[in-house]
Amino acid sequence: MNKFKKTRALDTRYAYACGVIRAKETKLFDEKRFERFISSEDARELTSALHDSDYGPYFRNIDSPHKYEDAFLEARVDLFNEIENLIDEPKFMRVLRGRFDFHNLTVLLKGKIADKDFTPYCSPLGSIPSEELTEIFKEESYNKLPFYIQETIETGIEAYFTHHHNLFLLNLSIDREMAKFLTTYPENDFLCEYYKRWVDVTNLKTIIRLFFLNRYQELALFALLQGGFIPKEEILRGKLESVENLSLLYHRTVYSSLLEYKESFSGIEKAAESLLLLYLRSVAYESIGVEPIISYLFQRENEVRNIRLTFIGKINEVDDKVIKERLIL
Amino acid sequence: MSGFWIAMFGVGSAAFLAGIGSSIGVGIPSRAAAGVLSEQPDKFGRVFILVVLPSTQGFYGFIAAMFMMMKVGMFGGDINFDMSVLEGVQFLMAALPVGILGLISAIHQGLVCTSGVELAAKQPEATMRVVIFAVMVETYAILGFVTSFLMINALG
Repeated sequence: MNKFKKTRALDTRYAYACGVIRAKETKLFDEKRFERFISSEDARELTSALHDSDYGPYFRNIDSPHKYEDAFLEARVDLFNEIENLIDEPKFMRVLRGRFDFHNLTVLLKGKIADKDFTPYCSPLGSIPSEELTEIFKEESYNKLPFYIQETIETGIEAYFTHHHNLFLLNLSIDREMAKFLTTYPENDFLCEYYKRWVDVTNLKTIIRLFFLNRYQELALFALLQGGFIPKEEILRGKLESVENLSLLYHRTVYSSLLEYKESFSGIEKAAESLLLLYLRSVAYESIGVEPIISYLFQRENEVRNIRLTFIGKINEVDDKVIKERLIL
Repeated sequence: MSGFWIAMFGVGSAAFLAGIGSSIGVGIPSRAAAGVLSEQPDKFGRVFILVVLPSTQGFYGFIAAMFMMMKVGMFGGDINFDMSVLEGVQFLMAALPVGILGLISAIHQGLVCTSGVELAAKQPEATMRVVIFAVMVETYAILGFVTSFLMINALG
């Protein structure tokens, strides 16, 4: 797996940012804190429990716990802005915000096809402001966009029209372009390796799902992403006939834990996220460099996902045990 | 060419190399400390020790340079301009241990101290343990200084 060169030992540009991040890491919620959240009576009590944390200011502005999404969105916008200020390198931020740009593209393309305004579904976390993107789509002045986004739009529309107006294939086409962008663009080995692992994990999840739907042979060519450590061609050449083949092929890789859960989708999701989180935490001992900052960003994203899951669980009166099982800690 | 200028080059090297090392070594943990203090201002006392530790190499280089200047008579008004080339080279060689070891050890000590500053943010009680690690790096700077000192003393 370590086919990339190591971080430069004296990359001290981020020393200040690393200091800030190490101090902020102490505020990340640990397992005990989550247990306390889970033991809350209801969503309102959970909201109160968050008041003395970094999320407090965002939850003070909402009048109902059901509006937790608004609070989290605001918190995430601030988090990304803060990281942007600390890293102060546009190329990094373009990659870190890249997945939201591709999400916005999908939303706006679907809006264009349906002739409806889907702007409210756009994410404010992208590198291109959603208002600007909407305006570009309205004017159809796509040449104002970066080249990789223009290419994505072209391939997405092509996939949609050449496959009998199939929106599913439009999604897949944009996902493929996103994977290509994320795994080839980064100049940082840590980020590049993270996204390569992400592609591998996504491909393995997709294969398991496609086998479950009995549509592997039909959709594998379109659905699998390129750019991971396991080349798409290698997977296709393997001519898999069942999930068991997959386990035999990859049980000696770092992804073996994922393949143990082939009977449970939630188990697969959790194992996949845990694998990626484990990789992110591997930079715990790096004292300088951009890696701890990237790692912190993704860990905070995971934290938000965990609190959101707890909220959903509490609002829908899900058993505490089940909520805990779903959390990725 | 007079050996005096070679000796002067040695004097400069001792202070200059060790000084560069110390400024880099102090600079790295200082930035990390500024980051930590922006979130946890109460940690100043703990991180300060770590930030100043790599500055000692610069002092060793400066003291060695002073010794050498005394040896060539710069403080007594009796400067030995007629020093032979061989004597000058001897002064230059005597400056190298403190200069080069000071340069390298200060940078590495700075990296150790940076880790310590970050550790102070997470586990303040463990800060002193990192000071011990940083002092281990310091040992080699001290050895370099002692070597230079003995070499300078041995010169006529």
